[in-house]
Amino acid sequence: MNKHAGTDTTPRGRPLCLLLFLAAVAVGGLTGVALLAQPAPASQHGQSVDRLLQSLSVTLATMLIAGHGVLIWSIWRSGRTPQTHIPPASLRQELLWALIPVTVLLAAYLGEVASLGGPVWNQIYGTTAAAVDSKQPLQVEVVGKQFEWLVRLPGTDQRFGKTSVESIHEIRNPLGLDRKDPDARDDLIIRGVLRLPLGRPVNIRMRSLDVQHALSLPDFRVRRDMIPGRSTHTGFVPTRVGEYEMVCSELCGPGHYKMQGRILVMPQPVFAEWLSKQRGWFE
Amino acid sequence: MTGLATTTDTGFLQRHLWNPHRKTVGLQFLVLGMASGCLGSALALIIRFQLAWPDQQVVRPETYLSFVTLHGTLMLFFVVAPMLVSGFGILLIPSLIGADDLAHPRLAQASLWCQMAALVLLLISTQTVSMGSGSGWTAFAPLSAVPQAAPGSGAGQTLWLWAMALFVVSFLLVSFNFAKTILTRRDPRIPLRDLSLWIWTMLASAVLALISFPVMLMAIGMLLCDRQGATSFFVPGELLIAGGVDQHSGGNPLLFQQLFWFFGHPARFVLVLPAVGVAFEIISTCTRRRPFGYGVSVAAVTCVAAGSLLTWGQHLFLSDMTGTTARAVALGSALHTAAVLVLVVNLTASLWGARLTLTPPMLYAVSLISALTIGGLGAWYLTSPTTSVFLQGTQFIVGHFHTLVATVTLLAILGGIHFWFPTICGRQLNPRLAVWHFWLTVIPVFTLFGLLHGQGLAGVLRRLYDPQVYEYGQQALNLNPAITIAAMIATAAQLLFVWNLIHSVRRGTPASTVPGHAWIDPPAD
Repeated sequence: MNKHAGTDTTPRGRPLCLLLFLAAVAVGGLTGVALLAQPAPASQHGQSVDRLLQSLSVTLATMLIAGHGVLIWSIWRSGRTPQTHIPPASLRQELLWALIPVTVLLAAYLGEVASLGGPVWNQIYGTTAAAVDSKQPLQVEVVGKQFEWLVRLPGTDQRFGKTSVESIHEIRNPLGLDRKDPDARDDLIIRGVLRLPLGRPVNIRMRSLDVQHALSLPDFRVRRDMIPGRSTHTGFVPTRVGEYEMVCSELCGPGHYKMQGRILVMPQPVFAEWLSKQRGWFE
Repeated sequence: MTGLATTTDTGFLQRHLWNPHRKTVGLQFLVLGMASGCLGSALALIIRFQLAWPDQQVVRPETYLSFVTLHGTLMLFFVVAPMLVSGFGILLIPSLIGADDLAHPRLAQASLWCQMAALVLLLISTQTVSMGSGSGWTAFAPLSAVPQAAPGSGAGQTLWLWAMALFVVSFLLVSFNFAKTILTRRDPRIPLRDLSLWIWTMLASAVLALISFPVMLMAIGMLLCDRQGATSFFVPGELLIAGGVDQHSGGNPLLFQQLFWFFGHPARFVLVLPAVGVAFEIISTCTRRRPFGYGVSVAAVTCVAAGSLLTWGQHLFLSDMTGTTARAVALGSALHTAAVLVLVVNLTASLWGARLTLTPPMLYAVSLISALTIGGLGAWYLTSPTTSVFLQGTQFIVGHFHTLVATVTLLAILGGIHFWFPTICGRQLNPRLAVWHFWLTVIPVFTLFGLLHGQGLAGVLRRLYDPQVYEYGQQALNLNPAITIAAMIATAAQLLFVWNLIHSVRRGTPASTVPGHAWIDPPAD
């Protein structure tokens, strides 16, 4: 019986080893290629996000290949050696083996997730965004609605005016600004384009007018949900002049796939000049 | 074998349709799963066609989203759940614990008909204007709570919710039945430490479902009240829906996310744990050895189940989570992932030093270890808040959860069918055809989900009707035709399997006359 089984093993065992090897290498390699293919980040913290991704990828690829190595070796050698009698492992041995993944992952948590990732998280999503503390940040509100982005700047008074959903008019008042509120008079509303000055921290307040959206700024390594009924925040520092994409990454209806906006990062003087030429929505 | 015998002195309908015998009900679950799998796979191919060749516009945007929702719902709850959990469990749990039957055979039949009714409702939902629900299997409010929010939020969404409610009820009945059967019907001569690890995973899965699924039932009820009643559990005020001010006020959309993920996060382990159990069962039978680290594995299975109840927060990093909460959730998720990898280590160590006969079930079990490793390690990117946020909403998520709840479970279902076919039908599947089917399934499936991981890391978003709209990650879109072709090959390969099943049920080599294949021996009865 064993002889019959033994002859069965070799022809199928080797292709399987090859497949597993390829699966491990392909997934590990693909991860590396995909990470290298990412456009360079356009924000200060973006480097840290990429560094964390790369660091995690090295750890995970090592574990993936090591795990598959043991798996492949088990299959490969089984066709060549006679059945060996292995005494049942003691509880101590079993626990030691179990400790391998637990230790490696805990070390990776402390060394990578917490120490590399923690500060970045606080920087972009923390209650007091560190990036925003340092200098006078630019205050911006990005509002999502099916299927477009509305950008609001607070104007010269640096205060956002009141809004109400009842006052919304698709053309005349897309955010429902309160005409009676003096803070609202100089608020700027721009459809689909967020202009940012280079090197100046930006503090983005996010709202949704209808269903849930998610503001996704892949070049800046920023993503945050926009939850109806409340506002969420993020802050970062743009570090590269250029034109970037603003994307919705939460399913919001049939037009979700084309809910696209643009971000223009420009030198500070150019931004200041552009801003000086703008007039408030009710001015 | 005797436990699975059916009476033959009754009519066809009585024998094959109304019979509460566990062999009939179990097989009905398997057939229901395969039928749903045909539909779910066809939908997957339509989705993949649209993604690979968006200019062809094979479907409209709202239909695309309905198909995405229907595909996910069918595959998770009408293919994997009824086959891997309900079907195998009803057929085999009593045999493996030395019981004559389930604790409640009629209840098993009731759960089957409940699930049938759910499937019928889902199919009816495709007859609505939008051809079903368009809010994805996650059905986040307010998109799912306000009927005017989108074409797919109307009648299709209502029917989807009722279908899900019926499914949840069906699965709760099954889980209760399994938990009670394992806990009360076990032959006392089989000590707990000698129970099959598959039984332990089935018990963990059942208990996990009994804790988490009622929460989804409650959330569905609240959502239906928001849609059709005057409540506002999940919908805040001051919303502009379809050009008018919505009448809801005071609700919280995050509440739905919390409730949903308290169900959705454990749900994947309700499905993955029994898959791991199938691999342990196949490996220990084929190597004729006790699995390595039996006690540690039981503990790890318990930790994975319990941990999944505590770590649903990792799906909410994106919503409004601050530093300390995110760190706490990340630490919990890290330990949870470590428990999954302990199972990988024990599965691998169970092969060490054994003389392996790579019969079709063993091929599936070994490749399952590989898929579980990729899925477990992939989860690590998502337990870290900073990288998770970067990858949320991308194809990485699609690749990752398909590796866990599609690849791992598919390999377990196919491995399980090949392993237990002789036990159930008394005949053997054609091994040559089975090996061809294995290769033609495993290579494209690994390729396709591997490439989806890569696309996501390159920034390609999921759930996009036309991904060409965005420039970011544009280069990775070149992989789309290859992914679609891999999906087509994997789907076509299943025809070999269906043919093998149909042919072998009547004409396969009788199980008892094939020498040297341990895997055809029936489980201890």
